[in-house]
Amino acid sequence: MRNFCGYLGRSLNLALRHLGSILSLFRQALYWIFIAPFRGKPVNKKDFIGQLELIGVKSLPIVSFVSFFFGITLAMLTAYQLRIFQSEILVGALVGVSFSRELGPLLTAIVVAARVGAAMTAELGTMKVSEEIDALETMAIRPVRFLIAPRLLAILIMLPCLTIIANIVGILGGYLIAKLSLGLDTYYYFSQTFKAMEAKDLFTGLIKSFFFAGIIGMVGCYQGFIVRGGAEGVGRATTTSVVSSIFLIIVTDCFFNALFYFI
Amino acid sequence: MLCSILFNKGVSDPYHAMIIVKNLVKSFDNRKILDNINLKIEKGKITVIMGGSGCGKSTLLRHLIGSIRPDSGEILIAGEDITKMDEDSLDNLRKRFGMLYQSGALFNSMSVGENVALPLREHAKLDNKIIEIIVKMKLELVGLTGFKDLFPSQISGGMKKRVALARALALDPEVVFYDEPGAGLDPVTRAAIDKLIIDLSKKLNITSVVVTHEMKSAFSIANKIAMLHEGKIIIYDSATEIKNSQNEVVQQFIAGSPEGPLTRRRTGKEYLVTLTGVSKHR
Ligand SMILES: Nc1ncnc2c1ncn2[C@@H]1O[C@H](COP(=O)(O)OP(=O)(O)OP(=O)(O)O)[C@@H](O)[C@H]1O
Ligand SMILES: [Mg+2]
Repeated sequence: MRNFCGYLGRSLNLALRHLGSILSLFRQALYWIFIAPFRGKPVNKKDFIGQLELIGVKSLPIVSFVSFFFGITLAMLTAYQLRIFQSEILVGALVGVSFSRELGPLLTAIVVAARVGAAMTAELGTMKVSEEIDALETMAIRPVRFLIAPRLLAILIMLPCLTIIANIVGILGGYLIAKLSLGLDTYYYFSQTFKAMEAKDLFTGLIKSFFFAGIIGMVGCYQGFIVRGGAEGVGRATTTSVVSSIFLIIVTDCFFNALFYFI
Repeated sequence: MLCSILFNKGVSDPYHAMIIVKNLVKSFDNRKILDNINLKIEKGKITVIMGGSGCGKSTLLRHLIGSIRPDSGEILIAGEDITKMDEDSLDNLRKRFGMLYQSGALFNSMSVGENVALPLREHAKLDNKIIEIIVKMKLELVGLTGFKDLFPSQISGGMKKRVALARALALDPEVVFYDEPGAGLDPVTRAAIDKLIIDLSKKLNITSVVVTHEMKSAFSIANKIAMLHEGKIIIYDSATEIKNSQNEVVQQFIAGSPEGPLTRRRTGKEYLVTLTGVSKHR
């Protein structure tokens, strides 16, 4: 018992220290994104565009696939339960609201965390162990500006965009089931969907998605920056990065749901 | 340009110390790596740091450039203590330094030319055309004309080293730190790099700090040699003095002989302690 408490205490201490370091890194990154450009120190454009492409364009297929199939699954699941009340017509409303409020942002964030967050950690971690990050520092180029700022900015822009696409594709997936298996009318399906969805639903989803983007970007970069011990260290950091960002995403999501529910 | 004007002020006093290290102490995980280091590095001269593998030479260089902060002690560069400087002032200083990392530390996502151009793009407000010319000049300097568009993954280890050197020299630094510039190079290229280091020092009055294992190049380039052993500087003198030194450790290192104080077999008792971890035996 004593041992367990000690372990818990140490882990908590460590987690808080990491959190502190991430927040301090985050603050620096925000400075380089939002303040420094107006003082003549723009964000590293080449990296920024590369990241936009990596996050946005290259993650698009997988994000779409996942949302599409999830849309189908969700439609079937709800249709199955709504059948009891003979109100299958509500499938559209349910899929639409679930996606825009919850599933779109969450699924997108998890897919992107596994894809982009991991890539960020692996890339920066490799740079760390091959002394590239130290070299930047000795050239008086701040690594936070040069490496973290473009990545964070790119994901802050791209994740909400991907989320909107995920919402659309998910609703289309639901529609496919409604049309093919329930035989609902197209116009009726979509009018039901849009009647149920409020601007607020979309909005809260996008707010969450911003926070998720911050989590993925910061955890991904931070884990890369603290890598030690060669290629093996990079592998370990990549795993940690994905696991901890998904964990933080789900916790944050829960927190936001509670917040939106009660206010 | 401004840098070199500022820098040339010191010419009237050629033996003026560029870097002064005072009582520097650094431990990693309770292992004392640098134990009370004192060192004066003269302006415009070549100072060589020697020592066995893992004795802390790279760590010492990292301190000199402000990448690592020491546990205690001072490092004065041009009279200012860099161990207490904030990042902005350090950056200003670093723009006047060049550092060649042991592993080269080229950016793998950038071509050779972009690597060399990076410090210029970041710090010198120059036209792209001029940057290109400077890059060509620097690559020519290290014998790599025409490799501009290759990527680090496409060139050999020795070539990477030379590109890294070109990058370190991009901003015409006043002080250049070389971490094993000759390692992994063939004898001819190594000699060429040695000559380059000497030329830079003589013609441009650049202060050089060179970490090397190669005794031949150490003696051919050094104005002064410092030897690091067990966290301390055991000798700091000119090349001839080092050659004539009576110190057994120094002599063994120069001769590269397997027998001597550096490799002395421990007594049977010590050996037992190392193996068993028990300090008292009957
Ligand atoms: N960041 C660090 N954390 C922990 N230990 C470190 C760190 N950096 C260096 N060390 C330790 O300090 C010692 C000296 O390392 P350093 O790289 O300075 O040696 P070196 O003299 O340059 O060796 P080599 O000739 O092999 O390059 C090593 O034992 C190394 O394990
Ligand atoms: Mg070294």
